[in-house]
Amino acid sequence: MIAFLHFIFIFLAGLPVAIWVLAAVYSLIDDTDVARSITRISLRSLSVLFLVYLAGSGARSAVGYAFATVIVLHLGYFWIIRWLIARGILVTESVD
Amino acid sequence: MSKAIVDCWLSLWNQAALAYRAHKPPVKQEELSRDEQDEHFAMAVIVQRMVQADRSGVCFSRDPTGIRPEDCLIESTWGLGAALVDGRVSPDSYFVASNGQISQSNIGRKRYKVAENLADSDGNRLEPVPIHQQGIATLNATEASDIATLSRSAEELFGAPQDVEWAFENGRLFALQSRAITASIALLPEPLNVEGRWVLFKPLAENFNEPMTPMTVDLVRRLIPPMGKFFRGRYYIDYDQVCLLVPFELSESELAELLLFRGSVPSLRFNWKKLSTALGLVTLAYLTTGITWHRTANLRLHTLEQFARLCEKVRDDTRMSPLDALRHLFLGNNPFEPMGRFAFQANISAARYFGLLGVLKLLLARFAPGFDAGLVNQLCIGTDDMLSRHMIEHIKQLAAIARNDETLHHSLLDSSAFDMQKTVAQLASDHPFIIEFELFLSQYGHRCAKEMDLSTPRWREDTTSVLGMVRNYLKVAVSDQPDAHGLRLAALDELHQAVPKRWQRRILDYFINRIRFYVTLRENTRYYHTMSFDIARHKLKQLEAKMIQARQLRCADDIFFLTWDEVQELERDVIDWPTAEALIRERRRRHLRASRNLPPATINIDLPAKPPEQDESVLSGACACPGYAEGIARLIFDPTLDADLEPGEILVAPYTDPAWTPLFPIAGAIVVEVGSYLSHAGTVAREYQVPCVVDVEGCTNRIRNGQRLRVFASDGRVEIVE
Repeated sequence: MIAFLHFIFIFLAGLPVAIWVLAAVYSLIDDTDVARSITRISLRSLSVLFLVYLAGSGARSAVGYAFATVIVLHLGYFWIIRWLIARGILVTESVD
Repeated sequence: MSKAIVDCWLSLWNQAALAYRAHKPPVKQEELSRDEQDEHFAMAVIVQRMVQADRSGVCFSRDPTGIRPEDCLIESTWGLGAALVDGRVSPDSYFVASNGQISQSNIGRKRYKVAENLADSDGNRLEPVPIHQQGIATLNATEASDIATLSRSAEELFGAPQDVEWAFENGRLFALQSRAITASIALLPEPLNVEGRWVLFKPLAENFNEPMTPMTVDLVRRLIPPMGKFFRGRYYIDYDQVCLLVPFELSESELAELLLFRGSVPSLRFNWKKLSTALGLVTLAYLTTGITWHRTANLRLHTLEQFARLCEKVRDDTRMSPLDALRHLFLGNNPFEPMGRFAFQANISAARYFGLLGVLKLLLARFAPGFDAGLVNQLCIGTDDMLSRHMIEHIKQLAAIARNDETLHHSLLDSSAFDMQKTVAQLASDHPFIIEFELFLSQYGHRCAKEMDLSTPRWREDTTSVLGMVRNYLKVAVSDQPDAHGLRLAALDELHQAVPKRWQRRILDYFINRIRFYVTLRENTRYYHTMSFDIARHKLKQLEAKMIQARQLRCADDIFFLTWDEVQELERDVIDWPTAEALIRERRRRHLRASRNLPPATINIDLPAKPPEQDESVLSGACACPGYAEGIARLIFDPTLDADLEPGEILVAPYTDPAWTPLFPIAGAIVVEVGSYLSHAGTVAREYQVPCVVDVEGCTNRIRNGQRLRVFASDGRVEIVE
């Protein structure tokens, strides 16, 4: 039970860290200064290493799941929005 | 002639006449049978010479809108009055007091007129008004006074307030018709009977006070999530949906006022049940859009140029419809595109500066309790990259070039706003002014007043207001401009002296720099994302030209009063022109009617009535930029038509958007009818440290041109001195 709670705790803590690190990864396409992007990624990755260190061997996968969750939600959101717009499902009513 | 007379007689049995008689029988039903009823009526047809009107309109002997109940209200346009009645023009309006003086006038843009010669019986009676005539007044003071006297005579004769149709032919005034004013309710707001509770969406409403045209509504409604509804061209958010998300114990009116950015924040008590829902939704929103949120924080402002390039690509793609273009530019990005292409999302995300400002104020109260809170606005002005500021600098540059050319200088200062266009058109193509002017239009030509409405011509299409603003700067000495940058540095020095600890200074500096970044980002992303509307308009105008050539449409700009599906049906001949024309006519009338009245702030929600002012000469609103100023009031309703502001005058406006921006630095103060701290008026006023009061209800009706005003912006108070 404690191991499970520990896993959940690391998973939840991993979610904002994953968002923060992935945003830094995006700076490779957002920013024209590659050196600055790499520095940003490296510095933010330290927080992941710290979390993994805290998690211990038993909950390392929780960090991985956190990254996977964020990637799925982030991409899913984009594709779902695109799909809804293309299908004309997101339509606001207009009353004369 | 005989056919026309028979047509007149036949009109006695057309649907409208029959419906009117059924609704309001002039003879008691029981006295006559249906057939006898119809036979009972006879129609006299008067044959008379047509008045070849060069100007015409209507005059209400008492203002039916109730704004100035004792005054006459005249509406006037070029040519015959049908263009006005059909809603195809925004007429000039004049309020004339009982002494014959004009108490308020508002010059409309009269882009079309019904020509005096009605030879074309094919339905296309409209012809364009030359550009130099569109924005000039159709009546002078004597003519307005004559019409008012005529309507008052009619009122005396008939014993009730009258709605008089009038026309001028070669300077001679004709009364065409007079009827009781009760029959003309077209100026009053139409009652809106809808279910549910709705609150006007302030961030959109403060950009223009007129309703959106049907085409704009129809395209935009396909892009935004169904969190609200459009009612007669204005967007309202669903109060009940918002209510579920706000985790505080608030009364109905308190929450509605918060959504309208009005009043002070009440003491907040958590509603724990709602808190869990709200936290869940915020967490989900963060997990799905958090990466975009953080990407915005690191965005390099110059990378937004990528959005401009994307717009060019979409513009050139002839297969893309206006709807596809808007969909692609607003929400069509894939997640692996550079953030510079997400202008719209970045714009929404940049509004976080308002939250950061709240945190900064809390920190200041803790770290430097003695620091003047009013200086926060000076500390948090945008960075040098702000495009609104570049735009103003560019206009100043144009003024500087004009000042160096004595002939141009004088002709710009002496001619009317519309004659200025002729002056500039006569300049050689290699004249420095023309070179700089073309550069300006290439950068800012997609902007205009009411830029989110597709029917509005862009600066590129109509340069009148830009030239008017250049002229304003010809009257101002460069040294008269306040040095906002210097003021910011002085305020920062004061702050550093007031805060003893270095770590505290660092924290405050961090917040100040972040706020400045987001303020700039918010303005710059608006510059870019409004290009989408320009692209959609461009595509619609192309389609319109094609359809006019094919005789599927008859008049320019009618396309904006159809929906996208109707345009496609018209193009495929699924519906015919008479059907479309009837729709256009009805919608134009409704649009004109809705434009004349401010929308209700809420629907089915009662807001507490504002306490009456102790002193009638005092108006109150909300502070958007603190300070004090005294000066002469100058009412401007539309900067496209009237941008003539003398340095130091108090600008009184119904709303503001980026097209108004160049007026701000020369104004002594700004008073706006709608708006909030976050609105464009506030942001740019703070950039130039011009005292600004927003949300001043009724200011454009209560303040008159030329009155002396005292603006106590810090208290949100405006005093009419004389």
